[in-house]
Amino acid sequence: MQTTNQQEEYAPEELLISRMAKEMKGEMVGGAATYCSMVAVKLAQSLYNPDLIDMSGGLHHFDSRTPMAFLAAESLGRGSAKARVTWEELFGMVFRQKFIVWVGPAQIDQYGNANISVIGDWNNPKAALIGARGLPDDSVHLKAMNYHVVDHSKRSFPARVDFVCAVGFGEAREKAGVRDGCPGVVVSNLGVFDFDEASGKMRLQSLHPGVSIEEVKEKTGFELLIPSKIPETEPPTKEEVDLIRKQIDPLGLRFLDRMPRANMKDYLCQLIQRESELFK
Amino acid sequence: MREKEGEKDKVMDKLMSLKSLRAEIRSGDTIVLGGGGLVRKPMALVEELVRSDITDLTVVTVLGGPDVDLLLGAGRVKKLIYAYVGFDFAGLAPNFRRAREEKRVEFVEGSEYILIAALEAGAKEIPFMPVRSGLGSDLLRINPTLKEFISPFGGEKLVAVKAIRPDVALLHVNYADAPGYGQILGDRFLDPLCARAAKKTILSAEKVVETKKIEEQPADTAILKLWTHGVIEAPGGAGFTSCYPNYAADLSRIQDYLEQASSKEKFTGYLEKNVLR
Repeated sequence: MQTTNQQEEYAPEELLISRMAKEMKGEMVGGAATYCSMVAVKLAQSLYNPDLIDMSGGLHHFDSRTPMAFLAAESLGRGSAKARVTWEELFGMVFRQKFIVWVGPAQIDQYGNANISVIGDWNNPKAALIGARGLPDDSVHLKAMNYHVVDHSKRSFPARVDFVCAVGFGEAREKAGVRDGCPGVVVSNLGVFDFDEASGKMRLQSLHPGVSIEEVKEKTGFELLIPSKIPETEPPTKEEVDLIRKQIDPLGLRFLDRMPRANMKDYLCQLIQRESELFK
Repeated sequence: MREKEGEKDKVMDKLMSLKSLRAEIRSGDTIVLGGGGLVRKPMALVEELVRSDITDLTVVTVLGGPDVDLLLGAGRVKKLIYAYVGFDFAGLAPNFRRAREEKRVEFVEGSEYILIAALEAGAKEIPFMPVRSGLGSDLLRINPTLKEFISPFGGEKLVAVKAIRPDVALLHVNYADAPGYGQILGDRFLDPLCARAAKKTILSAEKVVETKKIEEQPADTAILKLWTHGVIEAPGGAGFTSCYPNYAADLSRIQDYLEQASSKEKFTGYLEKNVLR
């Protein structure tokens, strides 16, 4: 496999996707709550883990090689899905730990607590976001919680989250006697992080090419555990990048996860235009 | 709803007009809304509520979208029970956001499974359901319908989720027949559970069909007539949300909504132009 070393040869999203795809092992459902993680599920199924199950819109285990669609998403799994599943069955898969999940949190702290609900005090919000959604379920049931953050900053990596939707390591977890759903891997646009089991604290695992340790420290709102030797994150291979761009996500849905609001409207319009050309 | 002389062999006909929805819901009722995010939301039914003077509603939704946002923006909600409210890829829900920040409404936040468990308890006519969801999270601090307890078997900490028994479920389906079978061709979300939990269910359907048509694909039937109280034919009834395979979400209308909902003043104009008519 040929690797690409120059930074211009892949987008930050493509590095994230490549790294996320490598975490998805076993006969599991690739639970995708964000566009980057949807691409990662498909990349993993195509290249590394044929047993991985792609599921969305009530359709179970369809062919990942079909290009991702935007507004036509619900029609894509037709023809190759093995089953229709209900939400009750979906949670049955969560309870039996059959899901590998990737969440894009608004905030994640040093103990891996994650927040997607609110900025500020919940009762007196500075900014209301979307609500806790499935995080309080996943973080007490699944094998692990994985996160990806496309804009690593002191705001997205605070010392303590404003509201705990997914419970990380620490006192709250111990007091409640929760064993499952511990924080697993965090992939940001700067590096890859995991957690030290003993202290429950976030630890730098690798730095992405071209990123310095100073930059990571500067943009993190707490003190990270830093190992003495820090490897470089393996960049995406040419094969991965080609597959992402040409086959899995030719529309460019992966860029929606960190699209600035100002550019969103135009980008969505272009997406729909491209989609109508691609699928009709 | 008819059993006239000479019609003894006729099955119940639950067809009703959109306007007659107003007589089925009272101010102060608890309603649960089907669909999820920008998918198959019961927009025609919700818009009809906004045209009525029904208010002070307790609204329950696992995954809220423009349905909840519209009711909040029109000032009809007293209490909202939810796991999520948003416009999926199109962003945050503007009226939800404003109402949260202005604290005008009572908000009860749960998780997806906490909402499912609450409705499941309602459907089973029991006071609560035990779950592990929420343990260690801040939901236990802010949601008064959750109580930690020790399992009588094994001594594990669990959470009791208080039952929700909605007065009315409002659901949008692809096909329904006059007796009240409802077929959903895409993702069903929690619609079948909402129907089982609510005291009565009202369906809007893209198309009302003969029962023969339902019999052709019984696996598509998501809602049993046992739960259905009324059937309203409403083509395009999911509004600008998607209704597979009839139509995809309408991005330009979504963007127009988001733009118009960016301030209270603008949204009053939006309601007048698009909903109150």
